[in-house]
Amino acid sequence: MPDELERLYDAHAPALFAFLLNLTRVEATTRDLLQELFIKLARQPDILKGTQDERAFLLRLAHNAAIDSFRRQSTRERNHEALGAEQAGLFAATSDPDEAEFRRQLAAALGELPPDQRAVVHLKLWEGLTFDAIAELLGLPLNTAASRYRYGLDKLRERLRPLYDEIKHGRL
Amino acid sequence: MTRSNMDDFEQQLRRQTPAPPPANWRAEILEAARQSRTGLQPVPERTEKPAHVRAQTAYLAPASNTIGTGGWSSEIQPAFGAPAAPAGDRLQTCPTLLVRLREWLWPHPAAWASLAAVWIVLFSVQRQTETAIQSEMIALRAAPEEVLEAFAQRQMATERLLAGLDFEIPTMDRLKPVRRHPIASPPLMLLAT
Repeated sequence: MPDELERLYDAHAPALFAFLLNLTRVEATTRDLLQELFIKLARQPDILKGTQDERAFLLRLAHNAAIDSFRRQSTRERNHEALGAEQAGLFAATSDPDEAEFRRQLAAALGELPPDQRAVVHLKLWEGLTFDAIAELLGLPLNTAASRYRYGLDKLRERLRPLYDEIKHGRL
Repeated sequence: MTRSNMDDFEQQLRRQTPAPPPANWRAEILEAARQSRTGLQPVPERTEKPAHVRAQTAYLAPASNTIGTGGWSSEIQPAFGAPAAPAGDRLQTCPTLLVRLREWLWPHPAAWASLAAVWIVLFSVQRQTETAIQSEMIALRAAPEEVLEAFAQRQMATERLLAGLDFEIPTMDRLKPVRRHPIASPPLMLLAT
Protein backbone atom coordinates (compact mmCIF):
# COMPACT_ATOMS: atom_id res chain seq x y z
CA MET A 1 0.00 0.00 0.00
CA PRO A 2 1.57 3.28 -1.04
CA ASP A 3 2.26 5.76 1.70
CA GLU A 4 1.09 9.35 1.68
CA LEU A 5 4.18 10.66 -0.05
CA GLU A 6 3.83 8.17 -2.88
CA ARG A 7 0.20 9.06 -3.27
CA LEU A 8 1.04 12.76 -3.42
CA TYR A 9 3.81 12.13 -5.93
CA ASP A 10 1.66 10.03 -8.21
CA ALA A 11 -1.22 12.46 -8.03
CA HIS A 12 0.59 15.76 -8.36
CA ALA A 13 4.21 15.37 -9.45
CA PRO A 14 3.46 15.52 -13.20
CA ALA A 15 1.59 18.79 -12.82
CA LEU A 16 4.20 20.23 -10.48
CA PHE A 17 6.98 19.13 -12.80
CA ALA A 18 5.34 20.76 -15.83
CA PHE A 19 4.68 23.99 -13.92
CA LEU A 20 8.17 24.20 -12.45
CA LEU A 21 9.84 23.32 -15.74
CA ASN A 22 7.82 25.99 -17.51
CA LEU A 23 8.88 28.53 -14.90
CA THR A 24 12.54 27.61 -14.53
CA ARG A 25 13.16 26.22 -18.04
CA VAL A 26 15.95 24.09 -16.62
CA GLU A 27 15.42 20.43 -15.82
CA ALA A 28 18.10 20.26 -13.11
CA THR A 29 16.60 23.22 -11.26
CA THR A 30 13.16 21.71 -11.64
CA ARG A 31 14.36 18.50 -10.09
CA ASP A 32 15.92 20.32 -7.16
CA LEU A 33 12.76 22.30 -6.53
CA LEU A 34 10.52 19.26 -6.84
CA GLN A 35 12.70 17.38 -4.39
CA GLU A 36 12.73 20.30 -1.95
CA LEU A 37 8.96 20.34 -2.15
CA PHE A 38 8.62 16.67 -1.29
CA ILE A 39 11.17 16.96 1.49
CA LYS A 40 9.03 19.71 2.93
CA LEU A 41 5.98 17.50 2.65
CA ALA A 42 7.83 14.67 4.38
CA ARG A 43 9.01 16.88 7.22
CA GLN A 44 5.67 18.58 7.72
CA PRO A 45 3.09 15.87 7.11
CA ASP A 46 0.33 18.06 8.53
CA ILE A 47 0.95 20.85 6.08
CA LEU A 48 -1.86 19.65 3.82
CA LYS A 49 -4.40 19.23 6.58
CA GLY A 50 -7.36 21.50 6.13
CA THR A 51 -6.54 22.38 2.54
CA GLN A 52 -9.53 22.16 0.24
CA ASP A 53 -7.56 21.86 -2.96
CA GLU A 54 -4.33 19.87 -2.65
CA ARG A 55 -3.23 20.60 -6.18
CA ALA A 56 -3.65 24.35 -5.84
CA PHE A 57 -1.83 24.35 -2.52
CA LEU A 58 1.08 22.37 -3.94
CA LEU A 59 1.24 24.57 -7.01
CA ARG A 60 1.45 27.59 -4.74
CA LEU A 61 4.32 25.97 -2.82
CA ALA A 62 6.04 25.19 -6.10
CA HIS A 63 5.58 28.74 -7.34
CA ASN A 64 7.04 30.16 -4.12
CA ALA A 65 9.98 27.78 -4.36
CA ALA A 66 10.62 28.85 -7.95
CA ILE A 67 10.49 32.53 -6.99
CA ASP A 68 12.97 31.89 -4.18
CA SER A 69 15.19 30.08 -6.63
CA PHE A 70 15.10 33.03 -9.03
CA ARG A 71 16.11 35.35 -6.20
CA ARG A 72 18.99 33.11 -5.18
CA GLN A 73 20.35 32.94 -8.69
CA SER A 74 22.49 35.70 -10.04
CA THR A 75 21.65 37.31 -13.35
CA ARG A 76 24.67 35.67 -14.95
CA GLU A 77 23.50 32.23 -13.89
CA ARG A 78 20.02 32.94 -15.21
CA ASN A 79 21.40 34.04 -18.57
CA HIS A 80 23.57 30.96 -18.72
CA GLU A 81 20.62 28.72 -18.01
CA ALA A 82 18.47 30.58 -20.51
CA LEU A 83 20.86 29.45 -23.24
CA GLY A 84 19.67 25.91 -22.74
CA ALA A 85 16.06 26.86 -22.29
CA GLU A 86 14.90 25.54 -25.64
CA GLN A 87 16.33 22.16 -24.78
CA ALA A 88 13.88 21.80 -21.92
CA GLY A 89 11.33 19.18 -22.95
CA LEU A 90 8.19 20.96 -21.88
CA PHE A 91 5.82 18.85 -23.89
CA ALA A 92 5.41 15.16 -24.43
CA ALA A 93 6.88 13.62 -27.55
CA THR A 94 4.54 13.01 -30.45
CA SER A 95 4.81 11.09 -33.67
CA ASP A 96 3.02 13.81 -35.66
CA PRO A 97 5.74 16.02 -37.15
CA ASP A 98 3.44 19.06 -37.35
CA GLU A 99 2.48 18.70 -33.72
CA ALA A 100 6.09 18.13 -32.77
CA GLU A 101 7.13 21.31 -34.53
CA PHE A 102 4.24 23.22 -32.97
CA ARG A 103 5.25 22.01 -29.51
CA ARG A 104 8.83 22.98 -30.09
CA GLN A 105 7.81 26.46 -31.24
CA LEU A 106 5.35 26.76 -28.37
CA ALA A 107 8.03 25.85 -25.83
CA ALA A 108 10.33 28.46 -27.32
CA ALA A 109 7.55 31.08 -27.36
CA LEU A 110 6.69 30.36 -23.75
CA GLY A 111 10.33 30.89 -22.88
CA GLU A 112 10.11 34.40 -24.30
CA LEU A 113 7.26 35.37 -22.01
CA PRO A 114 8.00 37.05 -18.69
CA PRO A 115 7.79 34.49 -15.88
CA ASP A 116 4.72 36.10 -14.31
CA GLN A 117 2.78 35.85 -17.58
CA ARG A 118 4.11 32.35 -18.16
CA ALA A 119 2.86 31.22 -14.76
CA VAL A 120 -0.65 32.52 -15.41
CA VAL A 121 -0.78 31.09 -18.93
CA HIS A 122 0.36 27.69 -17.68
CA LEU A 123 -2.13 27.56 -14.84
CA LYS A 124 -4.97 28.64 -17.12
CA LEU A 125 -4.21 26.42 -20.09
CA TRP A 126 -2.74 23.26 -18.62
CA GLU A 127 -4.18 23.25 -15.12
CA GLY A 128 -7.57 24.59 -16.18
CA LEU A 129 -7.82 26.94 -13.22
CA THR A 130 -10.18 29.87 -13.15
CA PHE A 131 -8.84 33.40 -12.88
CA ASP A 132 -10.15 33.50 -9.32
CA ALA A 133 -8.12 30.43 -8.42
CA ILE A 134 -5.05 31.71 -10.26
CA ALA A 135 -5.28 35.07 -8.53
CA GLU A 136 -5.54 33.39 -5.15
CA LEU A 137 -2.74 30.95 -5.91
CA LEU A 138 -0.31 33.60 -7.09
CA GLY A 139 -1.45 36.28 -4.65
CA LEU A 140 -2.60 38.65 -7.39
CA PRO A 141 -5.65 40.82 -7.95
CA LEU A 142 -8.16 39.15 -10.24
CA ASN A 143 -7.78 41.76 -12.97
CA THR A 144 -4.01 41.41 -12.94
CA ALA A 145 -4.24 37.66 -13.40
CA ALA A 146 -6.67 38.10 -16.29
CA SER A 147 -4.59 40.78 -17.99
CA ARG A 148 -1.41 38.78 -17.66
CA TYR A 149 -3.12 35.87 -19.33
CA ARG A 150 -4.38 38.08 -22.10
CA TYR A 151 -0.98 39.68 -22.72
CA GLY A 152 0.73 36.31 -22.65
CA LEU A 153 -1.75 34.70 -24.97
CA ASP A 154 -1.52 37.58 -27.41
CA LYS A 155 2.24 37.17 -27.58
CA LEU A 156 1.93 33.44 -28.14
CA ARG A 157 -0.66 33.98 -30.85
CA GLU A 158 1.49 36.55 -32.57
CA ARG A 159 4.52 34.30 -32.45
CA LEU A 160 2.76 31.07 -33.44
CA ARG A 161 0.20 32.40 -35.88
CA PRO A 162 2.00 31.43 -39.10
CA LEU A 163 2.63 27.90 -37.94
CA TYR A 164 -0.81 27.58 -36.42
CA ASP A 165 -2.53 28.75 -39.60
CA GLU A 166 -0.40 26.40 -41.64
CA ILE A 167 -1.30 23.43 -39.49
CA LYS A 168 -4.96 24.38 -39.42
CA HIS A 169 -5.23 24.85 -43.18
CA GLY A 170 -3.29 21.69 -43.79
CA ARG A 171 -5.85 19.74 -41.82
CA LEU A 172 -8.86 21.29 -43.51
CA MET B 1 -7.96 36.74 -35.86
CA THR B 2 -11.59 36.36 -34.96
CA ARG B 3 -13.00 35.44 -31.60
CA SER B 4 -13.66 31.87 -32.72
CA ASN B 5 -10.12 31.58 -34.04
CA MET B 6 -8.82 32.81 -30.74
CA ASP B 7 -10.79 30.12 -28.94
CA ASP B 8 -9.50 27.57 -31.41
CA PHE B 9 -6.01 28.75 -30.73
CA GLU B 10 -6.49 28.34 -26.99
CA GLN B 11 -7.91 24.90 -27.55
CA GLN B 12 -4.93 24.04 -29.70
CA LEU B 13 -2.62 25.13 -26.88
CA ARG B 14 -4.57 23.16 -24.32
CA ARG B 15 -4.18 20.01 -26.40
CA GLN B 16 -0.42 20.09 -26.05
CA THR B 17 0.30 17.59 -23.32
CA PRO B 18 3.05 18.60 -20.91
CA ALA B 19 5.82 16.06 -20.56
CA PRO B 20 5.82 13.87 -17.45
CA PRO B 21 8.79 13.91 -15.08
CA PRO B 22 11.52 11.38 -15.85
CA ALA B 23 10.60 7.98 -14.45
CA ASN B 24 13.72 7.59 -12.35
CA TRP B 25 12.96 10.76 -10.39
CA ARG B 26 10.13 9.14 -8.48
CA ALA B 27 12.26 6.70 -6.52
CA GLU B 28 15.02 9.23 -5.98
CA ILE B 29 12.83 12.03 -4.77
CA LEU B 30 10.72 9.82 -2.54
CA GLU B 31 13.83 8.25 -1.04
CA ALA B 32 15.31 11.66 -0.35
CA ALA B 33 12.07 12.79 1.25
CA ARG B 34 11.92 9.69 3.45
CA GLN B 35 15.51 10.17 4.57
CA SER B 36 14.79 13.73 5.58
CA ARG B 37 11.73 12.55 7.52
CA THR B 38 13.70 9.98 9.51
CA GLY B 39 16.12 12.60 10.73
CA LEU B 40 19.02 11.70 8.52
CA GLN B 41 20.81 14.23 6.42
CA PRO B 42 18.63 16.65 4.51
CA VAL B 43 19.07 15.50 0.97
CA PRO B 44 18.86 18.44 -1.39
CA GLU B 45 20.58 16.75 -4.27
CA ARG B 46 22.16 19.60 -6.09
CA THR B 47 23.41 19.37 -9.58
CA GLU B 48 26.78 20.67 -8.47
CA LYS B 49 28.47 19.51 -5.31
CA PRO B 50 29.86 22.09 -2.91
CA ALA B 51 33.64 22.25 -3.00
CA HIS B 52 34.09 21.35 0.66
CA VAL B 53 32.00 18.23 0.20
CA ARG B 54 34.02 17.18 -2.80
CA ALA B 55 37.25 17.71 -0.91
CA GLN B 56 36.29 16.03 2.34
CA THR B 57 34.40 13.06 1.04
CA ALA B 58 36.56 11.96 -1.83
CA TYR B 59 38.11 9.24 0.32
CA LEU B 60 34.67 7.78 1.00
CA ALA B 61 34.19 6.81 -2.61
CA PRO B 62 34.99 3.10 -2.13
CA ALA B 63 32.28 2.76 0.52
CA SER B 64 29.58 0.75 -1.14
CA ASN B 65 26.86 1.07 1.47
CA THR B 66 26.27 4.78 1.51
CA ILE B 67 22.68 5.64 2.19
CA GLY B 68 20.70 7.44 -0.43
CA THR B 69 20.46 7.62 -4.11
CA GLY B 70 23.73 9.10 -5.15
CA GLY B 71 23.11 12.65 -4.01
CA TRP B 72 26.05 14.63 -2.72
CA SER B 73 24.76 14.53 0.82
CA SER B 74 24.81 10.77 0.80
CA GLU B 75 28.55 11.05 0.52
CA ILE B 76 28.66 12.84 3.83
CA GLN B 77 27.26 9.76 5.50
CA PRO B 78 29.95 7.94 7.41
CA ALA B 79 30.99 4.76 5.70
CA PHE B 80 29.66 2.32 8.27
CA GLY B 81 31.00 -1.11 7.59
CA ALA B 82 33.63 0.14 5.23
CA PRO B 83 37.15 -1.25 5.65
CA ALA B 84 38.85 0.44 8.57
CA ALA B 85 41.59 2.89 7.84
CA PRO B 86 45.09 1.43 8.12
CA ALA B 87 46.67 1.86 11.53
CA GLY B 88 48.84 4.88 11.67
CA ASP B 89 47.26 6.46 8.66
CA ARG B 90 46.15 9.60 10.42
CA LEU B 91 45.40 11.42 7.24
CA GLN B 92 42.67 8.86 6.65
CA THR B 93 41.40 8.68 10.23
CA CYS B 94 41.23 12.37 11.00
CA PRO B 95 38.81 13.30 8.20
CA THR B 96 36.71 10.28 9.10
CA LEU B 97 36.39 11.52 12.66
CA LEU B 98 35.57 15.00 11.42
CA VAL B 99 32.91 13.68 9.12
CA ARG B 100 31.40 11.51 11.85
CA LEU B 101 31.44 14.44 14.24
CA ARG B 102 29.75 16.62 11.67
CA GLU B 103 27.21 13.93 10.95
CA TRP B 104 26.46 13.66 14.66
CA LEU B 105 26.21 17.38 15.24
CA TRP B 106 24.27 18.43 12.21
CA PRO B 107 21.32 18.78 12.62
CA HIS B 108 21.11 16.49 15.65
CA PRO B 109 18.43 17.63 18.12
CA ALA B 110 20.61 16.73 21.11
CA ALA B 111 23.39 18.93 19.82
CA TRP B 112 21.08 21.85 19.36
CA ALA B 113 19.54 21.27 22.80
CA SER B 114 23.01 21.24 24.37
CA LEU B 115 23.88 24.41 22.56
CA ALA B 116 20.70 26.03 23.82
CA ALA B 117 21.46 24.90 27.39
CA VAL B 118 24.96 26.37 27.22
CA TRP B 119 23.53 29.58 25.90
CA ILE B 120 21.00 29.76 28.72
CA VAL B 121 23.74 29.17 31.32
CA LEU B 122 25.89 31.90 29.79
CA PHE B 123 22.93 34.23 29.71
CA SER B 124 22.12 33.64 33.40
CA VAL B 125 25.77 34.12 34.39
CA GLN B 126 25.84 37.35 32.46
CA ARG B 127 22.67 38.52 34.19
CA GLN B 128 24.15 37.79 37.61
CA THR B 129 27.35 39.59 36.74
CA GLU B 130 25.35 42.58 35.57
CA THR B 131 23.49 42.63 38.90
CA ALA B 132 26.74 42.61 40.86
CA ILE B 133 28.16 45.41 38.75
CA GLN B 134 25.00 47.44 39.24
CA SER B 135 25.19 47.10 43.03
CA GLU B 136 28.82 48.23 42.94
CA MET B 137 27.85 51.21 40.84
CA ILE B 138 25.19 52.16 43.37
CA ALA B 139 27.77 51.97 46.15
CA LEU B 140 30.15 54.12 44.17
CA ARG B 141 27.46 56.70 43.51
CA ALA B 142 26.93 57.04 47.29
CA ALA B 143 30.64 57.54 47.96
CA PRO B 144 31.10 61.21 46.92
CA GLU B 145 28.66 62.50 49.57
CA GLU B 146 30.62 60.78 52.30
CA VAL B 147 33.85 62.10 50.87
CA LEU B 148 32.46 65.63 50.77
CA GLU B 149 31.24 65.35 54.33
CA ALA B 150 34.63 64.14 55.50
CA PHE B 151 36.28 66.93 53.56
CA ALA B 152 33.99 69.55 55.17
CA GLN B 153 34.73 68.20 58.62
CA ARG B 154 38.44 68.34 57.96
CA GLN B 155 38.14 71.89 56.67
CA MET B 156 36.24 72.96 59.79
CA ALA B 157 38.92 71.40 61.98
CA THR B 158 41.61 73.24 60.05
CA GLU B 159 39.80 76.58 60.47
CA ARG B 160 39.46 75.96 64.19
CA LEU B 161 43.16 75.29 64.45
CA LEU B 162 44.04 78.39 62.45
CA ALA B 163 41.70 80.57 64.56
CA GLY B 164 43.66 79.61 67.67
CA LEU B 165 46.94 80.92 66.26
CA ASP B 166 47.97 84.54 66.95
CA PHE B 167 49.45 85.84 63.84
CA GLU B 168 48.25 87.61 60.78
CA ILE B 169 47.77 85.49 57.75
CA PRO B 170 49.22 87.19 54.71
CA THR B 171 46.78 87.69 51.97
CA MET B 172 47.28 88.04 48.31
CA ASP B 173 46.61 91.77 48.43
CA ARG B 174 49.62 92.46 50.59
CA LEU B 175 52.07 90.64 48.46
CA LYS B 176 54.33 92.93 46.48
CA PRO B 177 53.77 92.72 42.79
CA VAL B 178 56.74 91.48 40.89
CA ARG B 179 58.35 94.37 39.10
CA ARG B 180 59.36 93.62 35.64
CA HIS B 181 62.62 95.05 34.40
CA PRO B 182 62.28 97.08 31.27
CA ILE B 183 64.02 95.83 28.24
CA ALA B 184 67.32 97.57 27.89
CA SER B 185 67.36 100.08 25.11
CA PRO B 186 69.71 99.22 22.27
CA PRO B 187 73.05 100.98 22.31
CA LEU B 188 73.10 104.24 20.43
CA MET B 189 76.14 103.21 18.50
CA LEU B 190 74.28 100.36 16.92
CA LEU B 191 71.46 102.66 15.95
CA ALA B 192 73.85 105.11 14.44
CA THR B 193 75.39 102.52 12.20
